[in-house]
Amino acid sequence: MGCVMDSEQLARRAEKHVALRKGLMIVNALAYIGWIGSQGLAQSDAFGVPPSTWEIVRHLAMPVWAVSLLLILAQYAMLKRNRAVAVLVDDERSKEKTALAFQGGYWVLLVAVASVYAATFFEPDLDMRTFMPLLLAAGVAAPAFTVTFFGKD
Amino acid sequence: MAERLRNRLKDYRTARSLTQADLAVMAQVSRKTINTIENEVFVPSTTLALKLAQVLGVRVEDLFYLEAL
Repeated sequence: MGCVMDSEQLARRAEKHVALRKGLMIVNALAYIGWIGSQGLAQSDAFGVPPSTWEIVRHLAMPVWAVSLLLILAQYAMLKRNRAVAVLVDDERSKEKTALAFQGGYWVLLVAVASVYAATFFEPDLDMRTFMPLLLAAGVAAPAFTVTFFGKD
Repeated sequence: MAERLRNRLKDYRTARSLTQADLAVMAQVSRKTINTIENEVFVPSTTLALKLAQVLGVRVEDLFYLEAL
């Protein structure tokens, strides 16, 4: 009975770590889009929003991104010290999902770059200072979204 | 001829009165991985298949088999 209780506790603890990691990754990805994306949007008057507002978004999003990244790293460090839980969190299935997520990020970035390139045929004066940060944010944030939203079984 | 990988993981696990959490800890994978293998959603690597067979004390061929479609 003791063994069963231990297994259940370990499994639950690992599942909590997985849920926490997913939450942190989403916050990190959204904050990154807010931080880097707003840098690009500040170069234009997109959505009728003045550049000063995008600057505020940038200054608010950057600390959120940094704190969430530190928390993700802290969780990795915590798991390094607790191997019994770590092997349940990062098993071969989660590694396979992570690899698929990075492939997803690659395709999102590729399609986004191709879309911007295609758009230049219709609008030759596209400002790359606006689009490059948005492309970067999309490519970096896409893996976090794919692993979180499409990683469910 | 097309074939599908099937398994008897749930049968062997329940015969030994193990929960999915017990088997997960013994095989060092998540409970969800055990669940998805049992439901034939996730196909484990050879290493994990051998490990599952080892912890359950059976041959890997008894645990996993091919079924013609």
